[in-house]
Amino acid sequence: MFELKDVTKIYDIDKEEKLYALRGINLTLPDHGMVAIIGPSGCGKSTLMYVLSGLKALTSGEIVYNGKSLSDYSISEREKLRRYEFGFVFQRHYLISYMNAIENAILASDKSTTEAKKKAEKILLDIGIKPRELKKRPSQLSGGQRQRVAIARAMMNNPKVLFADEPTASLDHENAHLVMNHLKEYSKDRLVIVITHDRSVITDADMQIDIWDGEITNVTTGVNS
Amino acid sequence: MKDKQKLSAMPYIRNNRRRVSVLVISLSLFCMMLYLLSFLLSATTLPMEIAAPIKAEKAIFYTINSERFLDAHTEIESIVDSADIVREIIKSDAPKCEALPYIDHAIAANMHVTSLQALMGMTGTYTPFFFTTEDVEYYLEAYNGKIVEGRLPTEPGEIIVDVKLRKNWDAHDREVFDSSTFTIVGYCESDTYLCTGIEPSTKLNTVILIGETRGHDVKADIHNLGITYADVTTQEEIRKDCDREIVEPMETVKTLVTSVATILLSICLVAVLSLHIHDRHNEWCLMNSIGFSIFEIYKMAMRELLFCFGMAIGIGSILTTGTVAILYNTLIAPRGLVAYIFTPSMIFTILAVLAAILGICQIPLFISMQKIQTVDDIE
Repeated sequence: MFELKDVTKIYDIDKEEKLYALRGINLTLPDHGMVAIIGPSGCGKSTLMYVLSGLKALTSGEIVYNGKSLSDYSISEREKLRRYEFGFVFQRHYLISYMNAIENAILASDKSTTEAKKKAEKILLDIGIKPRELKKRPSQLSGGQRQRVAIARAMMNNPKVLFADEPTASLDHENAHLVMNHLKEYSKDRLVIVITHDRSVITDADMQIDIWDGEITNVTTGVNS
Repeated sequence: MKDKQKLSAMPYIRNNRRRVSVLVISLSLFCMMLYLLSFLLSATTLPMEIAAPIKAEKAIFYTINSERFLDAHTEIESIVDSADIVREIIKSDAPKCEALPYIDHAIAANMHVTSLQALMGMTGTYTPFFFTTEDVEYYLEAYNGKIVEGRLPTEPGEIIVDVKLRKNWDAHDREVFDSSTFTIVGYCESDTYLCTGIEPSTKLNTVILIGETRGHDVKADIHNLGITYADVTTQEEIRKDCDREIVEPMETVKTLVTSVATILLSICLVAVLSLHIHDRHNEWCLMNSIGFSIFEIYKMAMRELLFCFGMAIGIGSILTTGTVAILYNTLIAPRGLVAYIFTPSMIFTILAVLAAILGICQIPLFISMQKIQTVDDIE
């Protein structure tokens, strides 16, 4: 689904001290399955996610998505990709403070409000949100509950690719497994890219990519088998 | 790719009722204030215009220009000392004016001026007194006057007063005419603050010309009749005086208050909007990150604003209607005053002002749209 060719991303390119977030990465990602990108903080994991999703432009190299280079997509096409083909779970959840859990989940839904609410409720309950928490606002939810609302929002449009940046960071062990099982289930016919520094949560990954200082140090496929 | 769901303005409005209410109520009160200002000023200008009397254009008058009168009548040494001669001349001049095809009646009268207390300020209203009941009837008819109580004056010193004018005098506890000389024998309803009656003295100083004078050069025609000493007061002159002395100063006040209030409200609104936009920066960044275009976010923000403005117009209309009704019944009508209750031009002005404020709100909105980033940039 994704093909990365010599992908490089440099921050502060105008400054003397350039920051290499990604250095000449070459990689091919499958159409479905769970891909785990692992590495310590600051190694470039999140940057990889951002460039894959078209949120960040590359400094050099090329990313091909479904046979078409991301750089050939117009801004509007990239927005549509992000809305209908990609789903995002960001590190800091980014829930809208005045909306309740369901309203947050259906924010970018492509369905009618009634249908979307029904679907959001199902996803939220499936990933461990209790019925009484559905109408709560983010400030009334714990960090873990917020994380799960963000996951539900990402899954609403059944995206072909789901990017999850530290999706279990705020969850206890039990809920972390619940979420990961859900993501694993989702990855049966979709691509789920999980970014984490915690190896214990990605035991079920179909592909594991280790990153260190902007470079891929190891790619393991069939991890779970 | 499908593109079904739009960013709705309603979640924000539904979940931020307090904030939205404050904005809506502020705008509503602003609309109400502008309309009430116009309404209350009209309770000053309209009675004065009616008292002028501009609205009824069927009667004009001329008075005597002393200098020219003495030039034309060299046998008279002084107007004051020759009141009887002057009286006879005016009486004989009046029928001459009826030779003009557009003059139905020309009646010699003694002109008094009575006062009318408007909402702000006071004005005089012409009060001609005649010598016969028939003349009073002609004058009454010229202003569509109808006796609603009492009778027509028949004896010297008897007068009839418009109901509005009576209320005005009563509201200010004012007795305009000396009750030992004048007696109110009837009340009428008319197009003006009409007050007329039978002259108790023998003085004459005016000729009332009743007829459709518009489009005619009355001054020249009267002059051509040989009445060279007539100072004709035409409707145009009354209108100009009224505009200069009453309407224009009030319009200036209205424009000034409207402009200052609009500027102040715009500044406040832009400041509040800037803070509000600042609070929502992350939200809009998120929306852009998950695939909504900046234009869609702008449209949502505009829909929120338009909703507030629309609600403000609705609530403002209700508040204004209620307040106008209360003020009219407690402040205007009991004083015998009149006012423009429904002023389409003011409604258009208010809508234009709201449109201008909405336009000014585009500045912070556009700036904030330029600042929208995706989540990767703010993390």
